[in-house]
Amino acid sequence: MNQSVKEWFESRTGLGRIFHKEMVEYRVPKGLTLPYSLGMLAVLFFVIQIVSGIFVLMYYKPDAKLAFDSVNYTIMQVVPWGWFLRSLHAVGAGFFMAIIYTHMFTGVYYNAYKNPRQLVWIIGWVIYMVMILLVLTGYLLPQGQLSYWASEVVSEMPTAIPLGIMDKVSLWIKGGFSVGDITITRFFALHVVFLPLLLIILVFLHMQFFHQTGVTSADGREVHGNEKETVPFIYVTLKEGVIIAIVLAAFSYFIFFNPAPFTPSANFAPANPMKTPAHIAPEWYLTAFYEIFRSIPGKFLGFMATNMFLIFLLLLPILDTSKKKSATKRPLFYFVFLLFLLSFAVLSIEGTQPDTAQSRVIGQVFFFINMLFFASLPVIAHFEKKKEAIQ
Amino acid sequence: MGDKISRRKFLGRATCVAGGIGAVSAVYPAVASLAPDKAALAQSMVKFDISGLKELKLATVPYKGKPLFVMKFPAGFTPEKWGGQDQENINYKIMKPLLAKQKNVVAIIGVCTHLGCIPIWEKNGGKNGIPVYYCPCHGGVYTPWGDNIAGPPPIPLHIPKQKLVGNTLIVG
Amino acid sequence: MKFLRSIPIVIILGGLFYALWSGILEPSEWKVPQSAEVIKAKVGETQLIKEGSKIFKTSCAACHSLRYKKIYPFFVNAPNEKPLFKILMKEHNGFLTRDVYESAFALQLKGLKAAFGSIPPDLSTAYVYLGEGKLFNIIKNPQKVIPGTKMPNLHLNDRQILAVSAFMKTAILPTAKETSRRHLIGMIVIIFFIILAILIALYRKVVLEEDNIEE
Ligand code: HEM
Ligand code: FES
Repeated sequence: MNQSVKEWFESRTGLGRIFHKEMVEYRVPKGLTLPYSLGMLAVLFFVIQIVSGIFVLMYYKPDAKLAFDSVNYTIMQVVPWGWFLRSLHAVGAGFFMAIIYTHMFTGVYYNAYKNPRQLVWIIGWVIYMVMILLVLTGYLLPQGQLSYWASEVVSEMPTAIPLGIMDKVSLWIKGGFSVGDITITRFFALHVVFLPLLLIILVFLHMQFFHQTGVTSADGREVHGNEKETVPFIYVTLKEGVIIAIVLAAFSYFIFFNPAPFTPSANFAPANPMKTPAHIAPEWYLTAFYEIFRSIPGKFLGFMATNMFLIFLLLLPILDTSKKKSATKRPLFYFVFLLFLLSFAVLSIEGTQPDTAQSRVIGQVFFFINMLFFASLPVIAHFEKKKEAIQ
Repeated sequence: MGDKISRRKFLGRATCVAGGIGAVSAVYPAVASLAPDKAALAQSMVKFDISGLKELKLATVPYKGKPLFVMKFPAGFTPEKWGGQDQENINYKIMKPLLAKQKNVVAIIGVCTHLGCIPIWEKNGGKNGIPVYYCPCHGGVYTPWGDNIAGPPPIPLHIPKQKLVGNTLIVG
Repeated sequence: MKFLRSIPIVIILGGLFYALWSGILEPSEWKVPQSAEVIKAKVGETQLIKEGSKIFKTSCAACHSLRYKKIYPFFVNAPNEKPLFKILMKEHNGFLTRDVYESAFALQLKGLKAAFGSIPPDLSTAYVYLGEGKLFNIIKNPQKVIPGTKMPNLHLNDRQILAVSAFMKTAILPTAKETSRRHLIGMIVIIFFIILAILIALYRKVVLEEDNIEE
């Protein structure tokens, strides 16, 4: 009976077949380390964002005069459990970004961007860009002081490019001379419909691509298609389950005990177009760029420097010409990777601090170290080739 | 071996149960957030000063977001003349003691029991010019007490909990 | 070796997120003086809130609204405004949204602006964006914290200031009771996830052993 129900269903849907293909036939290398679970975690947090987003959306009002109260009063104080839903969404966004960054750095560490996974990497990079747009558009919605000035500053960004038309681009983004009602409803539409949909498509492509090529093994050998060196994915989901439960425990701590780091206090002041807060910095996931931007002298130069990090990240498959994979097998690469990580951390932290002469020097030094990482890649590849030739 | 298999099954089930409990509890806040909040629930009580009421003149007050019909009846007003369906006296029987207690004033919920339209008070609109509530949507007819006497409405209009304190009618 | 190699990475990333999420990067420049902290501990939050509610309504509400607590400036009770105010409050269940409030009392707000240079802001969220320390010092001596401000010094004593501040906190942050309720739920949820992690780990061990899989 049970069997025939299953068959009835399977012959009409083919869902079991897909499950079998993705969980059992799809095999991953043995010896996957903990950071390999970050992809799955990112998917989980995407789902959390969508679900909590739908619920806060039920009470949120996209209107210059009403948005602030709809978040801070209606959602946080009137709607039963509204505080929980909003914390889910705000803390979730922070966790999501942290997971995506760590996921990306894991990819760098294991050289997951190399042949044959260039497209997986590129799509991942696009996902990262779309996520930045998602958090930026979302950040405007509560209409606090930080929301307002973040959007104002970001939409002024194009004017850093010294072309006459860029002023118009900035106006075009905002739909006016300053961030107003039009900007809010526009960002709102992007945030709740367009960008999430786009993200779903991109995530699907990302997953399809790496299921095609298999993931890199931790020790850098290509084992895709090798029965002996791989295990069915379904076994690995158990390990990921453990990690997911632990991360959710940490997530719950912030939601129930301490959501403050994710809802900055300065954003509790309603947006005021006439007054910029004395100390203003973006959220932590953008402070590295912010620090570069303000410490490199010259508006255009600063803008270019900021983009350099992003562009080099995209170009990693080309920059790193070595055939060897994984930092575990490449001591030189491991060393510059640490510098890369360190520079990102220092820039991110320094960017949250007030702008002083000292902070500018730190910004310049660590931007330089950051660029050094990218510049060293072809050189390291050269040495590695030489060493191989000798052996 | 049998011992081992049962252990696997046991742990598998335990994990599923725990996960299931988690998933179900996660639904709770979502469902709870949809429930009416305190302010909405506060609307479920309304106070009305009856001193200005005129006999057989309808006063409408918002109650739970819907109209509440408050009506003062002339002393000795009786249902005899209406005729029609059998149930016509259900509301009247409940209301008779209420009317005595509440200076001949009574409140009923002005929402048609058929499909929720708002009936219209027609003081001379019924057969032979008698007063009725007439529902414009599908032609339901009620007595001034809210007993359904014609058309599709299946039951009389609802009578909310009410009491008179001094000259104030407290409903809800 | 694998273990050693991961140590610097864990330190850098762990340090980064610790710095970002522990709040150490936001030291506040204004503090509640020690003597006031003593009063606070002695009097207790509940009592302070009660006193603060009265002080706010008599002193602060001369100019400021506290809309999240349904408190509006004195002008709404002027003979000319009162009827409109009563109707609006009834219609909106006591909470006037900004568009309604600012349109209905545009003239009065403009008057305040003329008198003070800027409209005294609504204080519903001030406790959070100023922080307890800054709020305390502003009430104590507005000129010292915001040079040039037209907000008058109300000459409240420390206890009164603490009371107002405790009351303003209730406009935007959950009450002590609600906070402990959230902490309790949080405890349960965290313990649940830890148990879940242990269960999955045990299950995984048995499955891998039995199916003879080496990950
Ligand atoms: C990848 C997915 C998403 C990310 C990273 C994200 C991020 C954010 C961020 C950072 C905020 C400001 C948080 C705050 O301070 O409260 C926000 C607000 C908001 N988001 Fe999202 N979001 C995502 C998806 C969605 C979706 C799918 C929806 C709706 C279907 C949604 C609806 C909203 C709404 C209504 C707000 C304003 C309410 C509030 O601030 O609490 N979001 N989002
Ligand atoms: S709704 Fe009143 S008769 Fe149908």
